[in-house]
Amino acid sequence: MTVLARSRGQTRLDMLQRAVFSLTFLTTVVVCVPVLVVAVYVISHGASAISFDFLFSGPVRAGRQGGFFPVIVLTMYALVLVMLFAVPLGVLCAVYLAEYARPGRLLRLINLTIINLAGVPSIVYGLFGAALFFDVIHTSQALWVASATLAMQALAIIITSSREALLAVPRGIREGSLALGVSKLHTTFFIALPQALPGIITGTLLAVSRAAGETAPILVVGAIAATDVSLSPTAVVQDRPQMLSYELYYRITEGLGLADNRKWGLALVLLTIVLVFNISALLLRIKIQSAALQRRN
Amino acid sequence: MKETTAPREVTTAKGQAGSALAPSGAPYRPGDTPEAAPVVLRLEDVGVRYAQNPAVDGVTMDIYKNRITALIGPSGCGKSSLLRCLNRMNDLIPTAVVNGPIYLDGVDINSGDVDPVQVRRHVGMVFQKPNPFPMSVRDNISFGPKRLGIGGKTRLNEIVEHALRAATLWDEVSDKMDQPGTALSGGQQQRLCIARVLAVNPEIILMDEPCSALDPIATLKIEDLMRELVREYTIVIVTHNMQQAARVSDYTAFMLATEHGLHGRVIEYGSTKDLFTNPRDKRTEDYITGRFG
Repeated sequence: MTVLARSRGQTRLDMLQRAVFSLTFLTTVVVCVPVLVVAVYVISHGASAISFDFLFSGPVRAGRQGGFFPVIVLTMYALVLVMLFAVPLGVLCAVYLAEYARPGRLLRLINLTIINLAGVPSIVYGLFGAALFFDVIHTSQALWVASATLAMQALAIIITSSREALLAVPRGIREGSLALGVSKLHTTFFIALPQALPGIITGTLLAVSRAAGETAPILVVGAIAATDVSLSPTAVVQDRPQMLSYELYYRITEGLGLADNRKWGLALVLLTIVLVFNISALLLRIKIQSAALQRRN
Repeated sequence: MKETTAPREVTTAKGQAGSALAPSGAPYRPGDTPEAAPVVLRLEDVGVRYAQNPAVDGVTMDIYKNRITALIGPSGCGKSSLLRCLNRMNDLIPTAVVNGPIYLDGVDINSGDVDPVQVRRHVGMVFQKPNPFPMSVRDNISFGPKRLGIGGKTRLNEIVEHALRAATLWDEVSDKMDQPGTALSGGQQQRLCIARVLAVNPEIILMDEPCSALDPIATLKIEDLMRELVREYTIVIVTHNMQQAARVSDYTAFMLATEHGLHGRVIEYGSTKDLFTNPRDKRTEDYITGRFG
C-alpha cells in the first residue's frame, strides 16, 4: 500500500503535468477561436449578398449591381495556370535535389536559398514579374503573366514540401527496389514519387491557396477590377488579369462604393474557393493512399 | 545438414595469390573445404572505407555456387559492409569507397564499364528489416519483373505464383493477393521480400541478418526456405546468430575488427563444420565458444 500511495513529490508532479496540459489546450483554443470567429463573421456579413446573380452574372454599373462571375472564373483559370506552371517545375526540381544532387555545401546552399525564396515578400515577386515579363520579354498585361508571377512564389513552397516528402520515403524500400536490379530512374518514379505524392499534393495546395489570396504581385502586373470579358480560355492571354483577391482590395479601397455586404460576399467567395481547393486536396490524398493499397495488377 | 565428404585440398587458380594479397597473412581461404563446388564470386583483397574510415580490409575469399556462405562476427566487424560490396549497394552511400576486384562469373563487378544495375539483377538482396513496397502482395512481386520489361498479365501472374510458391508463402497469401504487403506478419513480409527477389531470378541472393527482426518460428521458416532455395541459388548471409550460421550454412567466414584501425578482416574461412568443430584460430574459437563478442 505504501508503495502505491502518492508521495508529496508525485502529487506536485501530477499538478505540473495537469498545468502543462491545460496550458497547451488553452493555447490551441486561443489559436482556433479567432479563425472560427473570422469565418463566422465573413459568412454572417456576406451571406446576404450571395445570390444566383452575384455568382453567375457579370458586373452591372461598375459592380454595384449584377455579379462577379467573370472574376470568379478568371480566378479559377489563374489558379489552374499557377499549378500548371509551378507543379512540374517544382516537382522535377525537388526530384533533382532529393534524389540526384550530390550532398555537400553547394546543395545545402541551394536548399537554404529555396527555403528563403518562400519568405521573399510577395510584392518583390510582383516587381520581378513586371520587370521580367514587361521589360525583358515584352509581353502584354495578361492573366497568364499574373499566374506566372504567382507561380514563382508558389515554386518555393512546392519545391520545399516535395523535397521533404521525397526525403521522408524510407531508405529501406528504395534499397529494396534497387536490389532487384531496378534502375534509379524507375525507383524514383515508381517507388519514391508515389510514396511522396500525398506530401507533394499538400504542399501544392498550400501554395495555390496562398496564391489565391495574393494581391500585391498581381497589382504590380496590371490587375484590373471586374469587367465583363469573354470567359473562353483565350481570356488567359487576351485579357488583363482579374482576380478575386485584387477585386476585394479594390472594393475596400475605393471608398464610398460597394455595399458592405457585397464586399463580404466577395470575401466569402474567395474563402470558399480556397476551402474547396483544400478539401479536394484532402480527398485526392485519401483516394491516392487507398488506391495505392488496392491497386491491382 | 550437408553431406560432408573427406576433407581434401581445393586448389583454385588464385590459390597462390591469395596469401600474397592478404596483407596480414591470415588464412582467408577454405583450403580444406570438403568439396569443389564451382566458384561464383571471387574476392581479391577487397576493402571498404567510408570517407577516411576503413570498415573492411584485405578480404580474399571464394563464394561457392549453390552453397550457403555465412559471414559471422561481432557488431562492427564489417560483415554488412562486405555483403553490400557483392551487389554494389555501397554505391548508394556517397562516401563509400570499395577497393579490390570482385569477380562474378569471371567479370570484375567493380570495373568501370560494369553497370551496377545489371550487377543487382544477378545478385539480389534481402534486408534486415522486412521492407515490402507499399502496394499489394501481387504488385510487390510483379514490380521487379515489370520494371525489367516483362509484360502480359498471364505471364506476370505465373511469375508471381511461382515466386510465392518458391518462397513457401503461396498457401498463406493466395487469397490475399490484393491486400497490402505491409499488412502481412513480420515473417510473411520477409518471405514476401525473398519472393520479390526470386521473381527477378538472380544467381545469388544476399541476406543481411534476414531473421533478426523475426520470432523463432518465423526464423525457422526462413532457414528451411534457405535450404530449399540453395538448390537453385547461391546464398550469402550475414548473421549475428552463430547457431543460425551453424544450422543453415555450408561455409562460414568469421570476421573481426582488428585492434589497430578497427577495420574488419576475415579471420577464418572454412566449411561450417570445420570452423565450428575445429577452429584453427584462437580468436575464432573464443568467439564461437562465447568467450567474447
